Amino acid sequence: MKLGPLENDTIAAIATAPGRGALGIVRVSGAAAIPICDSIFRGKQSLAEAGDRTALVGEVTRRDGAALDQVLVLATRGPRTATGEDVVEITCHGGMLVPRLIMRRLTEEGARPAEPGEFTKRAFLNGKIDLAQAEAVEEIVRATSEKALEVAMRQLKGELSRSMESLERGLLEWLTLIEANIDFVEDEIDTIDDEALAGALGAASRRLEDLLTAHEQGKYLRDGLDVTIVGKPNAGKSSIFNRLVGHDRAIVSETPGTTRDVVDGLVGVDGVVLRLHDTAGVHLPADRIEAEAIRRAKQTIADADIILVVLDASTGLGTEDYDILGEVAFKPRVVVANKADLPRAETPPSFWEKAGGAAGKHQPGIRVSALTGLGLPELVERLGWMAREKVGDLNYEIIVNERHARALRDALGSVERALASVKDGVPLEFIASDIRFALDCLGDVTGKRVTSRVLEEIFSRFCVGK
Amino acid sequence: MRIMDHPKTYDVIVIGAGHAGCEAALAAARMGCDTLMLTMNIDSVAQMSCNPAIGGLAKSHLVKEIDALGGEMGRVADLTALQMRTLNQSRGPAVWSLRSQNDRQAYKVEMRRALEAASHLELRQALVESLTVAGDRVAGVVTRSGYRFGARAVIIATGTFLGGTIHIGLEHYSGGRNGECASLGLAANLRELGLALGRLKTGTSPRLRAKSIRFEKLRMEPGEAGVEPFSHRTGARMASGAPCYLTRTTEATRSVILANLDRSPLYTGQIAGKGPRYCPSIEDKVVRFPERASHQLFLEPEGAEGHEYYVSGLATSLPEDVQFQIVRTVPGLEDAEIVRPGYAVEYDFVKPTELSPTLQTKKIEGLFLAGQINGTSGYEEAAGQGIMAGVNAALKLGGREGLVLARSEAYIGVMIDDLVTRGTEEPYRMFTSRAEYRLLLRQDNADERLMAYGHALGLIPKASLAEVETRRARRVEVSGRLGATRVKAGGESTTLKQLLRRPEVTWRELAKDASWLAGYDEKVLAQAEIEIKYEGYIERERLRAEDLIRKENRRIPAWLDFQCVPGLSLEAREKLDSVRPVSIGQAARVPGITPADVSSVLIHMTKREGEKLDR
Repeated sequence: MKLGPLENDTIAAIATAPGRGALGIVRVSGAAAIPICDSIFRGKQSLAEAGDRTALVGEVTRRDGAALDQVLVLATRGPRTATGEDVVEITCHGGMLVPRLIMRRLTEEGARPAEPGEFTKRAFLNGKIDLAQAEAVEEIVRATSEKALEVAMRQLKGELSRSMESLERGLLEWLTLIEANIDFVEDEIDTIDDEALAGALGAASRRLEDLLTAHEQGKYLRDGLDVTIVGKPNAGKSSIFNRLVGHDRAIVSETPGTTRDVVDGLVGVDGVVLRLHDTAGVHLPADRIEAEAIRRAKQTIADADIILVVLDASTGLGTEDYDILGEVAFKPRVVVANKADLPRAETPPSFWEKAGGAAGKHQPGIRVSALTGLGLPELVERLGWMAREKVGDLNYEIIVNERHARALRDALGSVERALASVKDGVPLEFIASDIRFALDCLGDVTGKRVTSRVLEEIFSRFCVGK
Repeated sequence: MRIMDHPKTYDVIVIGAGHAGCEAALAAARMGCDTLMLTMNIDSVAQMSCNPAIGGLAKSHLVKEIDALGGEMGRVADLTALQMRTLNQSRGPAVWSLRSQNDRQAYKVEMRRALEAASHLELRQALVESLTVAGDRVAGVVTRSGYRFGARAVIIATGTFLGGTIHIGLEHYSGGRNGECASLGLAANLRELGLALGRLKTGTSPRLRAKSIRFEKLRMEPGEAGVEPFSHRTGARMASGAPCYLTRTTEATRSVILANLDRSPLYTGQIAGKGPRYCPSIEDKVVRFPERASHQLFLEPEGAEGHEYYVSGLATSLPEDVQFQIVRTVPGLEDAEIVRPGYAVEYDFVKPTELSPTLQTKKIEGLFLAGQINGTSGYEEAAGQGIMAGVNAALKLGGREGLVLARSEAYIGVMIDDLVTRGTEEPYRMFTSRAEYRLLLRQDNADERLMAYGHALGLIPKASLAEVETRRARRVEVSGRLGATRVKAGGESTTLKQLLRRPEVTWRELAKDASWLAGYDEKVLAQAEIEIKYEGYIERERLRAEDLIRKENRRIPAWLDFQCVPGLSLEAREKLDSVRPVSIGQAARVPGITPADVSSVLIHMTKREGEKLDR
């Protein structure tokens, strides 16, 4: 049986996103958290001397005793901490370097770098949170946008659990009736109306499908949507990319892609993360570009959730534009006419008609200028609108987690089979087996087993026994 | 009192000769242990204190399992059956259940005959007053007359006799069964020895004189002819036999009961013990389900002589004059005479969490408990524990590892695991819905599941096991041939195996296209059909069962101290400490234990095991 790291040692991790913000936080948890931190901390008091939850100012020292950084340290003693163990938080200067140097010092003194999610796992193992909550915390760690955080927070409060419970309740009632019909064959139990049972199973399967759809939407929230910018060379893709990334100040990171021809940037629009991909080289025909670059660009288009087509308003539409528009014809997209600030950049209705004709007519185009910023707010609003459409109604509970989704898919499979079995006239105990399995799958999400309550339910609902 | 010693020391002493005691004594003796069976009334061996019936839902599975392990109940039930029926035939094969109506006297006679025929088994009348314990090991028993029998292992199977109190109306007196006295000293002795006891209640129905019943007004429930019997040792199939009869209570019944609740020991609070919810008294049914105008009653013959009928569904502890009035409100019973009144019995039971999965008590080595003393109800449940206690006592004395059946192997395994892991608050009865691997645990495959164990224990002859193995091989062969035989169905080419998967197709229909099927035993064909038709379902349960076995095989070492497992709540520590699960699988089933608790235990023990290896 795989167990992962054992729980008695002390773990440390940088809690803040890399390279971001003025401050960094390094968190340490475990039996030796306080002595280990004391061994790298120099202040008026040591953590061991200071009271619980007292913040101390001082410095982290290098091995040779020289100061490494000015820090604020705070020790919280278990079990009343997030992990249930002693926890120390070291607040230092941000950036890439300082937190890493502090991490290195901690590991030199006996701490171990935490595995991903290990703090949560410990909290879970120490009984601080239940299974569904543990997973929600993991999601918080990973959430890169406010909306994802909001959803994760909601789940933490048990909304997902509550939604599961109502689904469970319905299935449990039917299972109870079926089991009563099997085990109390000589008692006068209500008989099973196949149509009503099929109806209930149908409703349960729709509900599970909804939750799974919500999961897909949750994925957008968590991981962001991919927006790929396409257009012929010099249409101004990179300028628009830079404008968008610069327009909204919520840049998370900007790193060159693995190839020279795709560049990524993150931007938050209406609380949804958009991952912008600038395909510097997408233009046809192929003889002007390496085949490999085209393949990559096409892949980027295929993977994209939204396409941003950049046309050049100053030159009108050419074959390359038509080819590109054809390439993205089946994707959700926004079409912009860039360089609208130039004197000859006219986009009469015929321009949009041609663009629409090549690309399908479902969106009016936007006149923009990467140079002056003209039309950019409108573009951002449009992107936000499309993103929201993708993400769906956020008031709906969302399964944020892949393990949940798998459990729900298994439950759905069982409910669908039970439904087919009812229609085929398969004996009741097999239908019961499917419903039971579905309930156990739901129990994997909520961490509760309702199938053990079946007999209780039978006794409370039916007059059984001779 | 002066204690006198019996000159002989036994391997095993079984206290009680009910359904648990009989199986326990037979198993131990047949495994070569010198066995002494003590009963306070030698004429009450294998008494059916309640319904004169064996089997029924989930219970027939237990009987078939006992039979496959080499037990006696199934054979005696077959021999003494007045009629047999397969219940639940409109459902699928996993929940088909055989039930027999039995001749109460004949059952006792036949079981006594089996006991007398066994080597190494002595039967003796005595009332055991206390156990002799040396250190934390059992050493023997002392009877009320001061006679001491030495033993290396003791199995207590005293049913409802421990501290038994009988209630009829507001009258109550000490007794274990109507007309028989209770066992008071032993209950006190078990308490002194540190076992936790609780109190339960059960009830029984009045029995009526046959001549006073107007059968012509009742619906007849005939038996079924040609039913496959309980035991693999019974050759012939059963004839249909004596019928049961069906009638119903009326509005008048209800009025009588409601008017007399102030004379019910249940409703006046005189009975404190908890009764079974699945077997409520008629007064309970009337009070708890007021919307029901009427409740059905089954009249079951008590014996071939046909003198008495048991009124199933009419359990009551109301006073005798009220019982008389109640009976007379029922159609067909207008002139009925009560031969024996119904009554309730309250009794002490040992909390089954005192037991390890071998049914040995954790506190006293060599002491085993089986049957109603462990909080169960039902002859079949008792017998299932009896055979396991007998087997495990014998294995222990032979220095061998105990036999614990997994939940995926047997209903017996489900029952004992439920008892020792979860305990019970009411008399525990088996239901098919308690078995999460129900589709695997069918009555038709009990022999395949368990006969190898029975044979290894020396309780099943080689020939019987070989027969089962041949049948299994033949089934695999049929399945292969069905898969290889192509036919046209609805214009499409398919195999017979595929056809058999359709809900409406049975092997009998296939026989038209495949005359070679006639060369196979019907039982083989029926089982092949089940395995093929429900393959997907069965396979899923098999996979889950494998997962279970993995967890059961992750044993929790005896040195592990749950108090020292970090991350466990105080509550979890206490629960685990009191149950002391033997495996990670069992730990996960302790009520209130979360997956996180199990992870903590797992992590802790793995870590400690690592440390031990390092040293």
